[in-house]
Amino acid sequence: MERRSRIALVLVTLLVVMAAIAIFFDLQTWRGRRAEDIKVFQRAVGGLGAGAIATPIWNFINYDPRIFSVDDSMTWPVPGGYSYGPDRTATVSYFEEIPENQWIFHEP
Amino acid sequence: MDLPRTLIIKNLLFAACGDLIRHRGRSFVVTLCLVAILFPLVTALAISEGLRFQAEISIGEGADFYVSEDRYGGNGPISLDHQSGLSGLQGVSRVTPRVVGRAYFADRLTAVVGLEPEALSALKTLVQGKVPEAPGEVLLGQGIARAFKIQVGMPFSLGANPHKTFKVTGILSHSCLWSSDLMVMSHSDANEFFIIRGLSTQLLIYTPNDSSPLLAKSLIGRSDPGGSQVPHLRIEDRYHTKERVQAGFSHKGGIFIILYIIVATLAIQAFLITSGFGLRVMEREIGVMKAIGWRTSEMLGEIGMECLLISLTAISSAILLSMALTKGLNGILIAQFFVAEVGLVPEVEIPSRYLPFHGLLGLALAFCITLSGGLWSAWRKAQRPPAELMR
Repeated sequence: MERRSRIALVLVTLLVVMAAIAIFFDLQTWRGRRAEDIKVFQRAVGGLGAGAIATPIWNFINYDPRIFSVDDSMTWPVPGGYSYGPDRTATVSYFEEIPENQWIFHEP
Repeated sequence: MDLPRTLIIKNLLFAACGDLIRHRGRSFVVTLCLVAILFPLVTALAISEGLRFQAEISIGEGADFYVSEDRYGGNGPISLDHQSGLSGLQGVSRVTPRVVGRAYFADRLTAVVGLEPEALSALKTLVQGKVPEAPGEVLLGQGIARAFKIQVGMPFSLGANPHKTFKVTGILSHSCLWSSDLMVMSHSDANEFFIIRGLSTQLLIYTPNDSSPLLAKSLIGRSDPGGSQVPHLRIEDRYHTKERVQAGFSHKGGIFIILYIIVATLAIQAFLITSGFGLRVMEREIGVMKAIGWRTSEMLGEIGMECLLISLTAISSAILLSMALTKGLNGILIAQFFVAEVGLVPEVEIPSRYLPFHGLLGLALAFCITLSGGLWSAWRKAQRPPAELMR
């Protein structure tokens, strides 16, 4: 039984080491040429895109809040927004409109 | 006689391993269940981190300020007349106009970007072909080019303005999510395509780092020109955008993790309770162990080791499987749950970045789930007499 236990332990260790090496190499690929390519692209276009969506479907705010900082899908045609809008489902990012205090009170 | 601590741990480890092998069916099913639970969590975290990494570069390499005009309470195009005025402000090193719009390429929505000639030349290293130089020349993102089998030199026009004919001079190699479904052209071509004159979606302001706060004050001063005939300016600055994007990723990611942990914990408990998996065998084993002189703490230690070995196996397998799916198969079937509108077979490259933290979080979750399933019941059983347990 001890020999089998040793083999099982070696297998578990091997699996853990493989996962650790895979994570290490993945981190390296993000640091090198790949990051440089993203920088070149973003520098040239002046910063484009920020959310978990490839094109500005439905509204711009969840594609890039710098382009359109207002969430216009909240106001039409269903107040409160579409519950099934792609930006409101299971994506990994969601950018909210920042409310501004624009109420100016004039004394009578 | 007390044994050295390392020897105790080693013995417990071997005993745990022996137990797992003896009940290989149970060990296999529990590990498989854990892999099924951890796999979506690890994948979601990796995709979220990949996108966050790309978004941070987008903000870091972008302009310091984005200026547009306020139109009906939203961002509207800004007159190019503002360019010279803004360039003259103290601390401004460069002001460039940029058009960002959207148009359908056949039935697929793409972002249309119009840039100044210098910005177009900066894309040279990323282009297969050449960057646009003459009017009507465009670059296409790889996603669009692949989907419609577009070659360099191909002329085309789009439904939004059928009179404007374009010629593809190059294909943008993939760098990030937002470079895939994209058409890049000169600023004047973009305005001609959208039939707009003298305007731009935004003016991009670049500053040397130290003058940003000072410039922010000057810009805020200009945002309200005071007269009722001139529209207000809307200004987005790098600092606030960064804050908003980070919050957007953390908020959604945090909610996802919390909900996921609750659902996963409930699911595994329900699984253990409804199946009664291995309870009788466990009772008998604990009885035998107590009868031959094992202490309760040693028994709990052995069960802890079993849980640790299962958790290590499960999280490592989940990470390797997730990597194979996201990197080898580009997140086929699963990517659409995390990146909106990419479909079952994504044509854009899905970014995923695995961090050691993801592994540790998954390990902690798996360890807690397995421990909560085994430790409490083992401790309760260890309080009963061995004869009763072995019956």
